[in-house]
Amino acid sequence: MRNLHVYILAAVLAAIGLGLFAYKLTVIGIPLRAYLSVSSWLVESEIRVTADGGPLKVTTFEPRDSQRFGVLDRRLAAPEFGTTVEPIGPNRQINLTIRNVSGQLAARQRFLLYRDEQQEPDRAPRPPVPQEITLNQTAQAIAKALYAGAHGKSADEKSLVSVLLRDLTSPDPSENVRYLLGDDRTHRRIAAVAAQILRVNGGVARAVHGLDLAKSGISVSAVTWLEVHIGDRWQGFTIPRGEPRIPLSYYAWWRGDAPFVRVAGGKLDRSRISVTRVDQTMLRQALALGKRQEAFLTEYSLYSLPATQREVFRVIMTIPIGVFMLVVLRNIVGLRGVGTFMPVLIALAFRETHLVWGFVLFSFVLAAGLLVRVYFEHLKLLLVSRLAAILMFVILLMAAITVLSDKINFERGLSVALFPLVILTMTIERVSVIWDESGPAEAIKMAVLSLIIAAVCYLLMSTHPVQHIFFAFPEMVLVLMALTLLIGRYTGYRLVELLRFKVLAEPHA
Amino acid sequence: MMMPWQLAKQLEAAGVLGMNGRNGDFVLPCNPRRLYPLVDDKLLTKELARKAGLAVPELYAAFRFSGEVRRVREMLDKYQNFVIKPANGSRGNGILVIKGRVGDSLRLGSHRLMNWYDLRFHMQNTLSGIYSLGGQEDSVIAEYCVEFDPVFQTITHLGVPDIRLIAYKGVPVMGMLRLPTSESEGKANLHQGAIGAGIDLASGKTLTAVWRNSVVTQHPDTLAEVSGVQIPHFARMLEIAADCNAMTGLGYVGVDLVLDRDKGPLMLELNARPGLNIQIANRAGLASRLAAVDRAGVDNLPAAERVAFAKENFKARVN
Repeated sequence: MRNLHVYILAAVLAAIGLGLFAYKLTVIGIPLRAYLSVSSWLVESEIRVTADGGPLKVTTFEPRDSQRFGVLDRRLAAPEFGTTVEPIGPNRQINLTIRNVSGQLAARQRFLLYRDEQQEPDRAPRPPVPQEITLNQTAQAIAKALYAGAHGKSADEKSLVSVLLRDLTSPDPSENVRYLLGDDRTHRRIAAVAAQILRVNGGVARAVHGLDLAKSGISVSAVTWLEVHIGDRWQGFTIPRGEPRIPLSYYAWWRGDAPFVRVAGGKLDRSRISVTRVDQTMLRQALALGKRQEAFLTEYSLYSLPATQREVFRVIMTIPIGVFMLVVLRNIVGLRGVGTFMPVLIALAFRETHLVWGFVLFSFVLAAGLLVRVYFEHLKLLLVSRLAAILMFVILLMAAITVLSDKINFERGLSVALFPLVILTMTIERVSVIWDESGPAEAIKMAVLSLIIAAVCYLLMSTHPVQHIFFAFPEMVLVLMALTLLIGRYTGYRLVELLRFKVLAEPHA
Repeated sequence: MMMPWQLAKQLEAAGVLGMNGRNGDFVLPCNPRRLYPLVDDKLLTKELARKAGLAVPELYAAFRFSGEVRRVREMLDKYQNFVIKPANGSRGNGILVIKGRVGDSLRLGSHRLMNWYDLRFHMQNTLSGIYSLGGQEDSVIAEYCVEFDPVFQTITHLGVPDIRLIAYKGVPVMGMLRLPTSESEGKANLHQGAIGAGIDLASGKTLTAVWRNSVVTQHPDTLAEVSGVQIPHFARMLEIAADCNAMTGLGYVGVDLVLDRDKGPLMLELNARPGLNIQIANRAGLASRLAAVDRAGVDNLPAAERVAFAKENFKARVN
């Protein structure tokens, strides 16, 4: 009866767990392995301005899905500002406004870019609106002359633009080019001037600004290229070489002559864009893509957590597998360590110290702590005072190890964080109590066994596939729970008992 | 080389009980957790046994607070021999046997000397929970020191031999005589190095013995034969064990008895999770005997009939 209840409960739990798992795997398409290398990037921009005291307006651009990249998870953090987004031509412009403010203000934008090749190439109709021409009469004449020169040296529209760009960027520019560009020879200026030259001559062109995702870093500069409407689509040209092929790694953020940030009523202190390549993202993408159709399951997954909690849960979700390991070792194999779940905690501590060093450190401090215990034995101290004194010694010892390893530049030693320290002192306390209760042999046996079990748990808990499975599919914990329930009703022999009772299996004399 | 599952099959055929089986099939269903204090706290067990009319070693004094420990000398000086033990101790830890005086010092059963100051320190430690299960605060018991029956004189070393009986639903199912050795330092626990000799429930004679996981026939210290020893008053012991289930409400219990030279069998303590080594000492499995009790449904019969059932059914197969 009791067993039937357990079996049914286990079956239900396992069915729910496996069902969700199968659904997420096949329907939503969350991958089973974490590192299917599909590229994605985390882009963060930071703008710092100093306000003059009057009204302040900061303008920047919102990222949009481009031909090759999709934007996910866009977040704007500009708490002091009023924010409006207005579509201006091909861009979405962010207006950050605030009245009567002085001092430094910051606005941050952060989003994820992923390669999204499914989108159609930009087949855009020729923009109906005549494009703005900013050049004066003289400059327009020069522009026409340059265009004519390039026209003479080219075969079609494409090569014309290439020739024109090469003229503009030549290290030894002509008089005309120098007149148009002035002293400003930045790519942004070149793209703007090239667009003007083409517009003066009846073409449709615009500057494009964005990121070269092949280059990641804390502070990357925007890349600029030129887009010309040829035939029925926009054709990109690189600057300075004028090649009619935009590298696959270029992401177009905003278009036109405007800089990334414009400030009215203040001074721009810093504008910085950082690009970080993110791994584990196929998954992230599947989830975010799923968001559009499978709102519930993905919206409420661990992936929706902010980064810090996410990392914490990446660790926490491995605890069930460690605990399960312990159940198997205890009830099926018949090995037990100090405390009930202490080996799992030690395994968690190993995460921070890493296995070999963790092993050495634990053994050393444990041994030292127990030696002090033996010494204190002669002083005839009461239990709690003695344990307290041992713990104080352990903490001093760990402080000494950390300082020493810092002096000899041994970084591992420094990884003794608060958590392993607490675990270590607790372990010493437990082992001390076992020493009191069952003698040194038993205590040392238990300590060694605990470390071995902890190492096994650590190896299991720290493997990437295991971490990924339990983080991406938390419902697998239900399956583990079902197995744990079944083991809870396992009344067969433990493996070590087979040895222990072996003599009883032999036929009687 | 035997495969693990073949071995498991053979053990099952021999009716051997494993740890999981003991916990899952007997301890958990038969022993409600709330009753554990009755057997974990030896003061409670003593009181319970006294009410049930079972003979126990006389209680000389109980110490519950550290303040009381100061008065230990005036309370116990009149007794030449006594035993100090933690009320919640396990595995025989923290037990001191005091046998007489040498000058101002106490003479221990292990022939060492201890002064009253050391005794008070030991008692303070005990009170702070050093020997108790789970480390919670404890009490100290001072009680009559058993003078064991001369029949065990040649087969024990230092400590007091005791008899462990396992009682299930009022039926004694298996027994073992535990003999201290020099290695066990006078303690009667198998894992500390004592000898365990199986007992034929029908005759009260010892069977083969196990010491440190191997079968022995002689006591390692005295070299006297440990098999075939007739335990006096064994029938009375079976009756005591048969009463322990009803007395405590625990369906599966280990009963530890000693045989006093003058007072006969005394019940020392009870255990809600008795160990499984008794099977090795008896070279017989517990599971088959427990199943036999379940099948017979004898739990409502009078004690004498339950003991008779045990004697009839749990005879030794060899000897």
